[in-house]
Amino acid sequence: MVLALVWVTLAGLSLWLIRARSNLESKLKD
Amino acid sequence: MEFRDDVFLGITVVVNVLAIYFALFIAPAEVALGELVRVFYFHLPQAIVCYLTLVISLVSAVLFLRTKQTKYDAMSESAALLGLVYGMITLVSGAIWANAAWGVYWNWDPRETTTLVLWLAYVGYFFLRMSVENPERRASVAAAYNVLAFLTVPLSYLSFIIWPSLHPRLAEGGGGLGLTGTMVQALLLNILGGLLFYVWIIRKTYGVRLTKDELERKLSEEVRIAG
Repeated sequence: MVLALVWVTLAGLSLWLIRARSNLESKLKD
Repeated sequence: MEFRDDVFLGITVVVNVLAIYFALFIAPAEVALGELVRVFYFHLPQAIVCYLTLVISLVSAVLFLRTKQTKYDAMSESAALLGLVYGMITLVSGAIWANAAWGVYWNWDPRETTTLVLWLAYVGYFFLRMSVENPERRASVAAAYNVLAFLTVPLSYLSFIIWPSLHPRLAEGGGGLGLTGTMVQALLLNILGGLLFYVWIIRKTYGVRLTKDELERKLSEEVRIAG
């Protein structure tokens, strides 16, 4: 349960960061 | 750069998979805690990273106050944001362990209480940032607040020395955990894996923050030209 908590949270944050970065970069190019 | 990042992430994943394997299958159960000791292999590295990222946030805040360079404000905010995430993981994983060991999720143990105070202090940091509109002023006020908020880090770290606490200690003797052989290897591997992942994620967080700054600069420039 703790293992899942750690890695699901960190993986979720990583995906959010990757998406945020690509959204911001596409807005910059517009 | 992208390729180097991917290689670094690949190494991080391999180390963490190995660390999880060691923690779950190689390390034996502990004499007093039994299988419950395995929670520590995941709880402790996250707590270490939480303290580390808040130290980085403090150092960056001090550098910002001295130099007024916005890159330090960006780093300070990014590191504090990760402090909130790692702090939340530490608090929740600690509460899960507490429920299994003590029968309650939360019993206001000094370690629990001071870590909650730490977490709330950094929630305050983000509320403060949201409440100041001018970017230069926001960065200065946030950096000054960051120095004050950091006082909660040594308070949390030293809490179980200052007050009587049920929180387990790593050192042997005096009620400490007696980790030996493969248990130490499992813990060190998990700490290494946690630190490697932190290096990867702080770079990503900082990158997003810099890109956001660049976009805001570009937009305000366009508004200025149009006006």
